[in-house]
Formats: sequence, C-alpha cells, structure tokens
Amino acid sequence: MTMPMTKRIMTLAEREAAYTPDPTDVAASQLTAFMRYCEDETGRSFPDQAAFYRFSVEEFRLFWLLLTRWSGLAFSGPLDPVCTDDACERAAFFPNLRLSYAENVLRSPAGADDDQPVLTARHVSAPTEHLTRPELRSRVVAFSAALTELGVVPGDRIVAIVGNSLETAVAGLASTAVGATFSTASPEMGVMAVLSRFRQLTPSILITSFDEDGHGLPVSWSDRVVEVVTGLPSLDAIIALDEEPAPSGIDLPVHRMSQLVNSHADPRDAVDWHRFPFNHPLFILFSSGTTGPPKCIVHGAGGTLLEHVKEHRLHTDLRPTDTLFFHTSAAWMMWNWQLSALASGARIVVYDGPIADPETLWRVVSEERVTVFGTSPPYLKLCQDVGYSPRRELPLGSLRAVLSTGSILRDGQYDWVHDQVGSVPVQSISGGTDIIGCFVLGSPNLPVYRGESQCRSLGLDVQTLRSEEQNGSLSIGELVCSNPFPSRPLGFYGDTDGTSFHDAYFDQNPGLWTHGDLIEISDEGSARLHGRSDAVINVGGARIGPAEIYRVLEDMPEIRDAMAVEQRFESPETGRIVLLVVLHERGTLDADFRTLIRREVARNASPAHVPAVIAEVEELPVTHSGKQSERAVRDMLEGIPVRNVAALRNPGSLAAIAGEVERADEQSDGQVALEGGLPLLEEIRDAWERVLGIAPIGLDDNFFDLGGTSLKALSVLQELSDHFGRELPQSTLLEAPTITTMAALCRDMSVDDYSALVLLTPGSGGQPLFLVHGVFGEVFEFQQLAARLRHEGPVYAIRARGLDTRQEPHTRVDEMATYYLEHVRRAQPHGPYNLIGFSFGGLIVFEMAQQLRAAGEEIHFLGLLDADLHEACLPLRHRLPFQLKEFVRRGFGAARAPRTKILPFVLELVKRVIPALPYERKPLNFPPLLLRVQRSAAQALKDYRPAPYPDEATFFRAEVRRSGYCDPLPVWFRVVEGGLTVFPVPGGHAEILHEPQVKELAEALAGALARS
Amino acid sequence: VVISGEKVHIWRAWLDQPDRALIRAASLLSPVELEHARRGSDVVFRRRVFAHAALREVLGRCLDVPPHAVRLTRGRFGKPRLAQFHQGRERLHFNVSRSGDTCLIAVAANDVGIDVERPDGRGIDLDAFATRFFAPDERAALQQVTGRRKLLTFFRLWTLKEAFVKALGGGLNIPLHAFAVSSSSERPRLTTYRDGDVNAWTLASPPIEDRFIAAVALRRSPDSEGLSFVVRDVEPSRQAPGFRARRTGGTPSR
Repeated sequence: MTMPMTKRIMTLAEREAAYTPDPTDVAASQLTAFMRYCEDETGRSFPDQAAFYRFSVEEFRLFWLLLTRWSGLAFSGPLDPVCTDDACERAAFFPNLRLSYAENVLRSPAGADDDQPVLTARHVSAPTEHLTRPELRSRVVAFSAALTELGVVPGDRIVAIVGNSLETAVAGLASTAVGATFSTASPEMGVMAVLSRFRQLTPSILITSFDEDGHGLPVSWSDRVVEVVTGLPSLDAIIALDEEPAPSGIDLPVHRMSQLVNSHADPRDAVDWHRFPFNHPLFILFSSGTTGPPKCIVHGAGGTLLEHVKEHRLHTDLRPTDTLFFHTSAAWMMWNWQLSALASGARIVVYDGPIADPETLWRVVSEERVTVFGTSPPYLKLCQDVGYSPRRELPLGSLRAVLSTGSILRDGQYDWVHDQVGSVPVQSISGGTDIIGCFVLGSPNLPVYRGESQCRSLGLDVQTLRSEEQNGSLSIGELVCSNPFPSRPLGFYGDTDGTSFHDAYFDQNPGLWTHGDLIEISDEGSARLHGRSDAVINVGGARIGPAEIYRVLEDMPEIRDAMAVEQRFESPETGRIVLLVVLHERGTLDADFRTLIRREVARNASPAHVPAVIAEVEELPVTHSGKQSERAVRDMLEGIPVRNVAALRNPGSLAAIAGEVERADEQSDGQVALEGGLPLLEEIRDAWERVLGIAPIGLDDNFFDLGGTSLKALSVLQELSDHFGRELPQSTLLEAPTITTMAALCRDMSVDDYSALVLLTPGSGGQPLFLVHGVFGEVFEFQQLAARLRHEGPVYAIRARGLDTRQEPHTRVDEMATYYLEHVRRAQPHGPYNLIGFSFGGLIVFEMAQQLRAAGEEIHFLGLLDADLHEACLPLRHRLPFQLKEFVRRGFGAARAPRTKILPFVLELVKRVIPALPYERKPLNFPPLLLRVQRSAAQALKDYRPAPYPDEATFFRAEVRRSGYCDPLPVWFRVVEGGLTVFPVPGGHAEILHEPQVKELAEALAGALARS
Repeated sequence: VVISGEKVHIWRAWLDQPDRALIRAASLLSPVELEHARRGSDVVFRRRVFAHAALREVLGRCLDVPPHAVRLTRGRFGKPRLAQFHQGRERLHFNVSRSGDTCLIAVAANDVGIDVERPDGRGIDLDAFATRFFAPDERAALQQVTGRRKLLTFFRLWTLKEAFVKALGGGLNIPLHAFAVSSSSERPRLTTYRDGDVNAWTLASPPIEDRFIAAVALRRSPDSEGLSFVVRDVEPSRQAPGFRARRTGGTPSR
C-alpha cells in the first residue's frame, strides 16, 4: 500500500494579512510603552517588534529585569542576580527575590475601580455571580486562614477535583497564599486517571464538591469520590465547595468552604501576604507522556507570574478596562493562565456549563461585554459547520481579540472569524502545560496571517531545529528553546535527581529545551505549528501515549521488545499506529498472533490504541545512551530525513524496518494472503477481524452481535469482493451474518453471478431445508426462524430474482418454481425434499412440489407458513361473503365520507368482484426494488390457481388474522388431497417470523418435520 | 413532547454508563430486547441495553407512557416500529443509530432515518469503496478532495446515504448506487433517485458533537417548507463535560 506523504511546502512570502492593527492602537499598546521604556533604560533603539524580540532573547537577563521593574509587581529582596546560569536546564531566575502570587493577582492596580466586578461566574441553571476585587480578596484571605488552621503548611500539596467556578478560583488562590501547591483534575476524568496523578503528590487536602447533578457527569460522582478518597491515604481532610451531604464511605473530616470562609472572615481589608521565594512551587500540572505514569510538572510562583504578566500585558494587551473570557476546564493549564490575568487588572469571566449550542460561548461574550475571548479551533469549527454567525445574532461590540489554542487553527477559520465575528485579530497561541505559557502567540502591534501565530514569545529564544541532512527548502523543524526562561518548570515532583526531567526536555538536543512540536517560522517572525514531533500518537484527534500499548505487550512472553509510532498521511489528523515488535526466538508473528495482539490492546488499552500495522523487526533503533528512538522510526515512515540519525547506535536498523512495514502493509491489504490461498473461511475471518478490530471470531458468531455496522459490513464486502474478483451483493451480511454462511454464499457466488440460494445455517449433516421468500422476495426475514429451528441439515433460503437491477423479477409462479428448482437441484440433486414457503412463498413451494413430483421426485415435507392465496381462488360461497364483508368494512367508512368520495369505493367493489381488473392495495413505504418484486409477486399471486395436489402438506396459521385478506384455508383444504394438517401459531402474519412468536413457529415446524 | 410537522427531534444518549445504570436500563427492556442484546459481545450488549433503554425513555415521553410500557415491534425488514397497541400513534416514526458510545434517536411525524458515525478511515480505501458502492456524482465529489477533507466528505456522504436507506426502511437491501446525495452545498439533499421522487425527501446533517458526523432523512409532506431539527439529551444532566458546584447559602455574593 502506498499513500502520498505529507507535502509541507508553504509559501510564507506571498501572503496577505487577514488583519492589520490600527496604527493608533499600536501606538497605545502596552507593548509599545514597554519598548519605549526599554529604549529609555538602555539607550538603544527598537524600530519594530522583530528588533525588540532580538534584544529580548540576546539580552534576556536585561529583558526580564526591566519587565519586572516596569510591571510594578509586588516583591521584596534584591533583583540581582537575574538568572544564575546560561543553560536552560540549570538556570534559576531571581534567587533572592520573594513574592506572593496571590498578592500580585489580588491587589488593586493603580487607578482601578474597586467597585467593579473582577470575577464573574456564569452558570447554566443558576444566576450569574459577580465579585469585586475586595470581595474576592477577603474570601481568599479567609479561606487561606482556614487552610492554615487545618494544618496546611508551605510545600503541602492541595488537590482539587472541580469545575471552573468562582469557588475554584478562591480555592486555588488561597492554596498558593499559604505556600501550598494547587493541582486540579476535572470531574470527568476516570478514577484511575485522577489517582495516577494525585497519588504521586501525597496530598493532604482534597477540594471537591458532592453535587450529584453537576453538569455532565456520566456516572455517579459520589461513588467515584469515595474511590478517589480511598485511593489517597495521605489525605487529612476534604473541603466541599457545596452543601451536599458527603457520601457514605468517607471517614475523613469534611469541611464546607462556605463555613470556613464565614468563620474566618476578617472585616479589615488589610492583608499581610506571606512572600515566598521566587522559585517556591505554585502549581503542579500533569502531562501524560510516552512512558510511565503522568509527569507532575512543578511550576514556580515567580516564573509563572512573570511569564503570565508578560503574555497578558505585552502580547495580549490586557489592562484594567479589559474582560477576558477564556473557555477552559479547571484542569487545563489555560485555567491557571486566565486566573493570572487578574494581575494585569483585567476582569475574568468563568463558565462551568456545557456548550449546548454554537451560541453558548458567544452569548457569554456578548452579555458580559467580553473584550478578549479565548476558545479552541473545534468550537470555531462547530459554529462554522452549522452556519452560525455570531455577528448576525449578537452584539459583539466590546470584543477586540479572539484567542485560540489547543489544536491547530486552520487557515479558513481566520477568514470565518473575520466574516462572521468581526474585524478582530485571531491570535493562535501555543505552548503548553510544560511551560504554563506560550512559545508563540499574539501581538497588538503585528498583522495576522492566516494559519499563523503572530510572533514568538518575548524573551524566549524559540528556534526551528532542522536536521543537517534536511533539504534547505523545508523550513519545518523541531521547536526548541535555547535560552533560560522563568517559566521553565522547577522539575517533576518526585523526580529527586532530575533524571526524568532531563530525559523529557533536554536529552534529545543537549542544552536545548525540546518541546515536541513541529514548527515553521517565517522571515517576519510569525510561526506555524505542524503538530507533535514526539512519540505521543495522535490518531483521529485523540492523544495516545504508546506506554499504554507497551503495558499490554509486556504480558506477552513472545515479545521481547516493541515500539509503537504514529504514521501520518496528508494531515496530522489522519494518522495510524504502526507497531514494531521484536520477538524471542520461539515466537512467530503469524495472523493469529497479530489478532491476539490487536484483541489484547483493544481490550486492555482501548480500540483507539489498536495498531493498523504490526510488523516484526530484528531490532529497534536506539540512541547511544540506549534509549529507543521512536522519532527516528517516525521520520523514516513519513519519508522525511531522520533528524537524529547521528544520535543512533544502529542507524542500519531503519532500512530493515521500512521494508518490514511495507511488507506488513501489503499483507494487511490481503494480496499476499490471497496468493497464498488461505481457505475461504480464513479469508473471511481475516477480513472480519480486520474490519471489526477484534479477534478471534468464531465461525458462527453473528457479525452484528460483534459490533458490526452497515459501514463495516460494506468494508468487509469491499475486501472480499476484491479477493474474489466478483461483486458480493450489498445485503450479503444481512443474509449471511456469520462466517460460515458467508463462506457458503461466496462459494455460490463463485459458481453463478446471482444465486437464488442463500445458506442460512450450515447444519451438521442431514437433508437440506429450503425456505422460499414471501411477496417482497427477500429472505433475511428467515434469519431468526433458521436460528431457532436447529435443523440438522443445511437451511437454505430462496430469494426472488430482480432484487438487484440486473434482472427482471418473475411474474408467474410456475416460472419462479422452475427457476428456483434449478438452484435447489445444485444443492440437492434428488429428493426427498423439504420445502417451506412463507406467505406468497407458500404458493411457490406448492408449485415446486407439483413440478418435482411430476419429475418423479419425492417430497418429504411441504410446509405452508400462513400461505396466502388470491381471493379469486376462493370457491364462490367463500368469496362472496368475504367480498361483501370487505365492501361493508370499506363502504362503512365511505358512508361517513363526503358523497363525492363514495364513487371510488364502488369502483373498488367492482374491481374486487371482477378479479380480472387490476387493483392495488395501499402503496407501501418500501424500497423501489422491493416494490418492483412485490408488484410482480402480486401479479403472480393473482394469476395463480393451485391445482389439486395428491400428497400431504402442513399449514402454519397465524392466529391473528389480517383484515382485508381472505382466509385461504378452504382452498388449501380442497387442493391438498393427501391431507392438510393445520398448526395455529400465536401472532400476526408477519410477526410469526420474528421474536418472540418465531419461537412457537420454530417449535411447531421442528415437530412437524420430525413427525413426517 | 409533541411530534409534528417537518421537525425531527433528535435525542442523544451516552452508552458508556456504569454497571449500576446498566441494571436500571436492562430492567426497562422487554425479554426479547434483552435476549437480542445478550447475543452481542460484552461491549455490544451494554450498548444495546443502553440504546434500547434510551429509545424506550424517549418514546415513553412522546407517548406519555412509562418507558417499559412502550410496545415495539419490527417491520418487514427489521426496522423497529411502534406496535399496533399504540393505536392512533401511527404517525410517530423513529429511528436509532449508534456509533461507539453515542446513540442518536430520531423521532418525527413521517418516515425518518438517522445515522451517526465517527469519521474513522482506518481499514477503508475510500475511493475504492466509493467506486463500488456510491453513485457517480458522489464519487466525483469525493475525488475532488484529499486528506482529512476527503475523510469528512466520505463520512458526510455515507451518513446521508445510510440515513436515507434507513428512512426507506430497507437498509442495505437498497442499492447505494441507485441514488445520489449531495453534501457539498449548505443544504444536503437527494440529487438523483432512480426509483422515486427526489423531492419527496429532505436530508440534513445535524451537528452533534465534534467527534461525530450525523445525518437524518425525512419523508417530506407535500407543501412543506423543509426540515428542521432539534437536538437534546435523553438525560439532560449527562449533557457534556463541565462541572458546577452548587451555590452555597451562607456565602455572600452579589
């Protein structure tokens, strides 16, 4: 299989700005003000942002020093030294400075109006809440006093499972005020996911809420909170944000935030903030990587604050007149980011509800007069897809910028914002949990180009690292940061010697922070992100850590080593997982083992983890330090130069891997397997297992019971049709939903283009049974009957000709019988025959039996399942009462109808009394091809007159009679001269073939078969 | 809930619920439904139970009866429908589609079909698939796009086609190349239909959730304006991620 490789050739030169800032806004921006300040302080000149950026990275110490002074942050202690080292990994900023994050976030900036709200909390079903800065401050102070009283000391870890509410902000700020770290998880996270993060921190306090009907909780929250609490033995207490009773099973003290705040309220608004060292831990965030448990990333107070102040004031131009609404959960790093915006004087809006419709967030933007709105590409896409135009629906006059992060914003989305939101800049920002900030983001002074972030983060020397072999025309490379920056995390919690931290960011390119993103930087300094570069796999938008696949494989003794990598085609979203395995000598990677791997991965990790390709290789590429290099394999599979080839101990392994993957690819395409001539059953089983993604599949398992869908059914047909070089009918899997029946069908297909015979159950030996279709010609309605029958021999269904467009349906019963007998005789050349017909099919089997007898064959069993007859067949003494009754039934309705409508009923009667006149029943809502068959069948039914039959027959009669249909029994009694046995079956005509009535029918039928 | 006119009511249900909910849901099912569910693998069993339960929940609301009192039967080709028991409610049509852990239930006053899929192209050669099963116009539409857009176009076409054959009631018994849909314009529609009137049907691709592509098909009544739809959750509290602490009485707020 060959698929086109990604083309990443961009022309950044010839592009037109999607937005250009107004020169007066540029002049008034805080960035311009700061640049002027730096010019004054340093005596240099910065004609544009590019020049200023160069200064900020070349003299980053000076830059950060000036920023700290200019921003007016509250701190104590000397600013010297600014930074202790030139190496990013070792550097520490402002070691002699002390500050309080909460103090800086909560203090009133000069000139701000303390009567205005600074925190607005929107809810779905509760009124909006507003807090002014003094109100928020007093709550934080009261709550932090309570925390101290509960025994929290600096360095403690406080964890929270919360939504993004007002209380969460209070809890987070108060935790940092007492020197504890604050870590969040969202309530939707699974218990295991929460515990794998929080357990590492040995937290003393858990903050959560017991509210059962909190939005969007798919499972009982109280059950899960008990599990979480049980899994965190280090906890001393729980603080609930609400008043709901604690679920039983929690034996820790449970405090209420409201009570704690009330009892520790201090009317004086004079706070004595405790200032901690600049590098005192503040937030611990989590990142799920490629190996081991999630990393606990510790961020320092000063670094976080300084980076955020820089991004908010310089890059986003946030000031006291702004309202920021960044839609985020409390567990995402953007929560911390938007909280810090208070330090720039801006008001923040939080919303904890779901996105019920495209308008949800825009309504918040409009009603809260938001000036800077942060969202994600999927939300913008949602609005675009449904044709929602915020500009048309809502007043958005206050909005001046739209921020977007989380995934890559497509070029067209910039235009959409321009057209449907307004002439505001779209600022695509990107960075991450790892640095609690951004590497690339917006600028109030620069134009916006579609698909690009406006600039690199000031002070951070962000570069594109390209491999030496790489062709010069390719401008994409690994995102690295080459200088120290304050928001570099302090380390990983629990990683005492820093090994994990080093391996995560500094091992790949010594001395450089390697972020794991692919980036392209234009001459002007704008940037375009191209997805992840590291081993984290992104399939269909879901991030998958290969560690979860490795964990499953560890339990397989045949596997010595394995590597899972993502192979991307065309665009980052359409990747697939390629799994390379190194086996011990005794193992072989055959089809069975492949399916075993897939099944185990699907079961123990998730179906999303199931590799698309599994290839056996001799060895995996390792670096000189002995680390497996997933990225080398990935580069190679994507057809781009392997960037770290020099770092590999065994670069030769790559070519062998490429060959094996290609071979495995071909195999999974099935060509090799077909030439090898797998037995038909195995061929089908293979296709099923591939399409359904599970294995092993039993020969008699039902396709749809295994999770098969229409699309998957057609995918199976697609594969098998290619194998056999013939078209399998679209309805194949409806008619033959097991591997066995499908194999039989395929065998039939290979004899004839179209077979009337469909094998329903293969049986274990014995005489076949033939079931003949009803008036619509299809036979999958026999499926349940066949399953219930447990007939020893094979059960075949006979379906009508003309169900596909290639052939015309029969219009005469005797023609049908003759045609079907040709097919029957292929399966069973000579009698005795078992024939059963349903409804109209009763006439056909009756005629088939007549023809077989005429040919000298023996009929063992002739079954008529509620077999219809046209009323014209009725003897006159039965026909007249029926027709009269019908006339009365219909005429009665006519009598009440307006007079003009009586004529049709008279005509109807005339048509019925004179059977030669065509008449049709009410048209049915069925597919046209079926209707065509049905019309032909109706014609055949009307024309057929059963001749006397000297043998016996069995009639299964639906107890619930249909109105408008005559009772055919008098005719059957007359023509079946050998004796007609009648079994009543509960249910109506069509229902006897379906559960639950089919059970009764199957029992009666099996009994009659056994007796005859 | 009043079902009338050209409005398709779409309910969403989540099928990845815990064991406790499973027992509750299973108790709503008829023995036949339960047995049908049991025939499936573990995952299929759970999803069938939750989907059946959600369907009963929804139909119960429409009929104003408890969920377990809804009587269902199957049409000629296995399409579930209301039993005769609910006389006078023949105009209540519904259709169910599941994909992974998401289930959509469409209810309307006329023949309706719905399909939801997660756009996952793994294991499908889109062009070859289209060549075999799609109409020429659809094939052409697909060939004009590449990459992710191709995948999405494929699934938009596929869901529209699937919804249509489900609305007809014949499912895969209807040849997929016998009719064509268009997904490119703002309004999806039936463009050719060899065996019937293209104007007798309206199609739509309601946005459900970013991960999914969905489509509905509705038989339109004469002189209708066109199709509209409303999407809601079977259980409003299971809407979408988000979490809210209940407001506390003692805390001062403005």
